Amino acid sequence: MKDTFTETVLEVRGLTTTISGKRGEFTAVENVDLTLKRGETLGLVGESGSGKSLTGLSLLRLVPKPAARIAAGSVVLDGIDLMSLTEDQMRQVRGRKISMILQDPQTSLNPSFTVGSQIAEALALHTDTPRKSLRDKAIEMLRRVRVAAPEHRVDAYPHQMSGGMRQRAVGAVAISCAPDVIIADEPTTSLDVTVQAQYIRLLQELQRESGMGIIFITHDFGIVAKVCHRLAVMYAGQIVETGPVAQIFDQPLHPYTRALLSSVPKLHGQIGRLPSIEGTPPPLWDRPRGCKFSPRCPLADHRCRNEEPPTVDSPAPDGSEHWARCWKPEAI
Amino acid sequence: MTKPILQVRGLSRSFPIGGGRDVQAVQDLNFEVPAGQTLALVGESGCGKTTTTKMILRLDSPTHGQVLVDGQDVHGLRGSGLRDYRAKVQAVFQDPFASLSPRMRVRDIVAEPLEVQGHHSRKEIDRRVHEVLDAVGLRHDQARNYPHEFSGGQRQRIAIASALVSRPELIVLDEPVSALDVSIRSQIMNLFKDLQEEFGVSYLLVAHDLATTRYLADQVAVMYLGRIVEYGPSEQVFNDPQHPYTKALFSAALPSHPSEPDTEIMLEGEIPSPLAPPSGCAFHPRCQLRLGEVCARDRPRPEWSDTGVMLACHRGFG
Repeated sequence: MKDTFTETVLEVRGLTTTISGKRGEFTAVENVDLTLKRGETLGLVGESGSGKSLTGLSLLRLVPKPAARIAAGSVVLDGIDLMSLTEDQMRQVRGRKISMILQDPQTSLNPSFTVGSQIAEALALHTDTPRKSLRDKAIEMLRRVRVAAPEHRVDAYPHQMSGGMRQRAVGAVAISCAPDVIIADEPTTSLDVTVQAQYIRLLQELQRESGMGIIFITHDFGIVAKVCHRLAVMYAGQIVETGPVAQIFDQPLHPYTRALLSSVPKLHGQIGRLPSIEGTPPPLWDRPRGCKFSPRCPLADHRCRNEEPPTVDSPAPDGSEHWARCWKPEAI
Repeated sequence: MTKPILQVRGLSRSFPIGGGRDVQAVQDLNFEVPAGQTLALVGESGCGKTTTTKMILRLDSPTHGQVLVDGQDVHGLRGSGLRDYRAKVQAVFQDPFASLSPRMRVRDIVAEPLEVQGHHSRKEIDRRVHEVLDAVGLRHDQARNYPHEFSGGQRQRIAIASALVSRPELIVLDEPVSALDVSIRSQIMNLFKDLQEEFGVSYLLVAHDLATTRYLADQVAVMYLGRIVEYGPSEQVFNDPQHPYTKALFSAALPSHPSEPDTEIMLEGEIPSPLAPPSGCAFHPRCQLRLGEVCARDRPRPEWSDTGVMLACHRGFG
């Protein structure tokens, strides 16, 4: 994709979230910087426990309390630092300016209310839609997410819908107030291949219509290749590489990114032995010193294992940002 | 072609849904798994993959048809024949967090299939447990630990060790890597291939990820609404899919590179309910290549190509 996006809608700097529990307090999201432009889709990629979902929740200040705490950083949305808002002000922002789509449509819709009433609730809370027209507006939202026969589905309960349809309904709630930014946390993981394809196409169309920025949290590089413009790779709570998608696929700087990309089986070409990464990601409460990937990295040496790696820039040909946190990017 | 380990003949399963009506979960399935090879069942939720594996594992009985392992109908087995079957056919499931008993040590989980056979000495069992732990890349001292002490990838290795210990001829792999992290998946997929080479075991793979399927399978059977619509050698089916559903399914698979052209065939609607399957060819209401009335009226009969591909479509091979 060659689209260029100019206007920054969300800027995250130094976001750090900690978790405290019986292992004491530890950092689960460390010093995360992200920039999202209007109309752009940013992929936030990582394995389980990498901190990608907690990053998403931190942006909405929805981290599970009291265990998790946003310890530092700024999240500037349309010029407003969300970290400086009161809880009441934040509630005004959520849904209206930034909203979230979760992985499991089973649990993000309330089983005791009709789909229509749940869309209407969001509209009543965040917009000044007159009470009388809430139902019509809900039907319109369902139509926008391409639910067939929306006049009937508006009165359906979640269990009366298929998985794909439910995820569309969740999408309808999320876009009902035309937010500037949507955080989509693995929204297609529970969907079948052909339904996933339909849903991704829908998100792309909605984005084109409204110009919203999307942060797409996923572990799947196929999704990234299909829908994202830029990519941020997370490992053990840190962003280890970020840049334009095509540039990272062709010239990954970080050994972790490179290893992940090559370990994914392909639908075309030779079938050889899959390269794999030895070992497993470290638990967040017991992260290694120095580079967090060093115990699994074939290139790691003494310095990698002891000192925090620097940020290395390698801008894309068009000048857009591409960097990695690594001692040995040149060895790649 | 080597002698098949598993033969499935005319396999059907229907469930009564009240009012004297039945829902057909799978209908008239025919396929086989040759010794030392892998057959994958591919299809979306509700296509009947799980019902099929349940009947092969003898967790459910067919309404019609047969499941033959080494030429014997598994649903007619009794006594020692049944014990032999249980040693010969094993399974590895999707979620290694749910499939291992949290109260048993790894040694006991892995040894259980031998213990139930009842004729192995403790020494023999320990030797076999160590042998399979080696094969799946776990250390002997880890046999004393409990499942919660292991990561997802390691737990799947424990499940695989337990499936291997009775020296099975066939292992049913039901979404064996989809619950694992990306960096762990390739480790486990390589392990499946190594074990097949080392022990000559056959796999029946159920997976929704097409690239995983292509990597592991020698043969592929594509299912839609309880029937096989296309079946043949993996490379053949992946490189030149014939059925409109197979084409659409493969085209919807995610690209491996952002520059890959978008050739996606967008299907209309979702999979119909098996309670009210469409007439004729079950795929016709969503088919992008529908011929016309014939598709809505007649069920397509399976045809075979010279390259060994079975196709059930009125259009025939193109």
